[in-house]
Amino acid sequence: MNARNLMEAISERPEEKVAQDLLNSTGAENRADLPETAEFISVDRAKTAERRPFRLAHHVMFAASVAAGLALVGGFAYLMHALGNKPHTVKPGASVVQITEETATNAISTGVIEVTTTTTAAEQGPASVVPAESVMDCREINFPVSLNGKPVSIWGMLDEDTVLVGLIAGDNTAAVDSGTELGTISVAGGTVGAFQKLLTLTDEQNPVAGDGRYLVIAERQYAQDGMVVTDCKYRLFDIAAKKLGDAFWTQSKQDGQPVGGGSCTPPVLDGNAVYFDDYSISAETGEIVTTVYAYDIATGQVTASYENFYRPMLYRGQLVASRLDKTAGTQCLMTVADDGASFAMNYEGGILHAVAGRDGVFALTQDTLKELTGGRTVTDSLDGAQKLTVGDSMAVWSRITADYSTKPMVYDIAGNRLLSLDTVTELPDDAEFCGYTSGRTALVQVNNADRSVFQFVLLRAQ
Amino acid sequence: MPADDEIILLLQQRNEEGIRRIRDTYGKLCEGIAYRILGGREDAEECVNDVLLTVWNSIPPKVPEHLQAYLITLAQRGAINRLKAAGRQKRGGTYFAQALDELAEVLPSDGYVESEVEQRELARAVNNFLDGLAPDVRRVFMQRYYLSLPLRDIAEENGMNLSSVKMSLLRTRKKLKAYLKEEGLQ
Repeated sequence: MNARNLMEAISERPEEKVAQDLLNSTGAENRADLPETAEFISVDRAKTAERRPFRLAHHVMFAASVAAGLALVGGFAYLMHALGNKPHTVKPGASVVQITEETATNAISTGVIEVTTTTTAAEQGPASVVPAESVMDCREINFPVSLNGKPVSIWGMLDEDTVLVGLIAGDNTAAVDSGTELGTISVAGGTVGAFQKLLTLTDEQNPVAGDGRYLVIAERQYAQDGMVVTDCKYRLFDIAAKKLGDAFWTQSKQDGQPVGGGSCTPPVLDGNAVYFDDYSISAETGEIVTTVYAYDIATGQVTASYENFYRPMLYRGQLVASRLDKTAGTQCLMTVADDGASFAMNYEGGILHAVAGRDGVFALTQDTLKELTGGRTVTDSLDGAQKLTVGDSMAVWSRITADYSTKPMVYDIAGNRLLSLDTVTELPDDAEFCGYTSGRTALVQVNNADRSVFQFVLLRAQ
Repeated sequence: MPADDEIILLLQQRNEEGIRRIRDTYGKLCEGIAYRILGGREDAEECVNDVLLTVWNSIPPKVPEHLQAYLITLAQRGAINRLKAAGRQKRGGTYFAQALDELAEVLPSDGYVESEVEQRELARAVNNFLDGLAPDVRRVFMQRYYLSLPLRDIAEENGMNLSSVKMSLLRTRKKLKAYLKEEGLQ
């Protein structure tokens, strides 16, 4: 027996005792009608299959994805832990942008955040951190794109229902074109675009992709009972026109019946199309068939583009997608969808994240960062690494240290070296982390636990 | 708890408003539990959906004495089942993984035992052990190893400092190790 057995044994503690232990309640004995763990799986799955086939498909799809080592990239950076508002020391060389409640509120009302910046000098003391109630959160949106011929990443922040989108330009870029609506703020070592209020979202909407022209908003649909996601639709938001377009999706089939549209995985904007995946279930075999669909922005038509592929990404400007290699079990073949012969690779097992950057496909395993395209291990000394983001020439991820604090890590792909932010800033324990990278500039956000202070540390590879 | 009674009444009447109220009231709680175990937001959301579906299917006939505890139990077990189903014994970076590492001190073997009989026996022993702990010590232990809460949260919620939490957990783990040895389960 090992720790997993023990954890499962703890999880089997009766409900009424859990109530006593954790809620200081004296619940009556009613263990008999609580589902046993083993039953929970089978009964629940059976009911799931009966009542919402899409969900079963999603579960199976999810398991397949994990087996293939393609854990989802993105999602919220959740902060489930509490921390004091202790200031942290910023060491020389880091540029710090602070956003407090006042600026956030201002942004929401005016559309622009006035961000104060501090460039630390040698031996400068602690940065001035002003605790304040903040309404902002971080959403990981990292879309290296070209805007007016310059490399930028678009990224977003939100309050409870508003997305603010900013741009970070590549290194040595004087400014994102001043003709854009977004404007610029200069920060030593790079350029950070201003924030702009773009749109208000509902609880069901989430930005999942974008470029300099559009954001793709995933819109989850709930069943009539309001408790389960039955399908997912996408909407295109025109950044310049500030207009949210009509929903687009596809209808998968099971036993000839539609079972929802879209797996809600991040789509890809490529040219004048949005590529997204969806799947259907064979009525005879129960086998899942995945397909990458294309939404034509000009015509609004959705067509099946690449059958048996899923999880579209861009690699070297080309659309690539994954395909489950059924004969090899958990291995996954990644192939340029247009031309299978030009690029194919096997994913190994145990990959947590696989991300296509401009010049390579990178993957995190439990303890290594690998460049799959080059067949090399970048580093094999990771500890609890997660949330990989890959830009043009930098990779950013976070790791959990032995004392449970979160540390953002940056790898300079071109320079083939690790840049640890440990060297430039002492981050607070358990800091929340979101990383963005573009050009040779990496932007790392750290929050304190109650999200009252946000800091962006801009790091440039020399 | 009148609000919970009302929710259960709504569910017994097959009124979907009951599910909506659970989502509003306890959705974040369940999602937090699932997130700490699974380490991914989408996984956690799926888990919450499973919890809600289970609640919808089980009430009636079930009438939980304590709705919140019932939801916590479903979320915790559901997340662990989901983790098992996905074949992820350990996923770096999650609080669950950290908690699992700590429990490895108690049962350091590498081998996972599939036997239901042995698992049931272990569950019985652990349950008895927990019953014998002082309530405040048990609360800290359950917060860490049932809810996978971060140490700092546990410290704050219990008015303790971090070192005290770590020390309490260390002592309890040692006691548990000794207890399981006595029971012939190590």
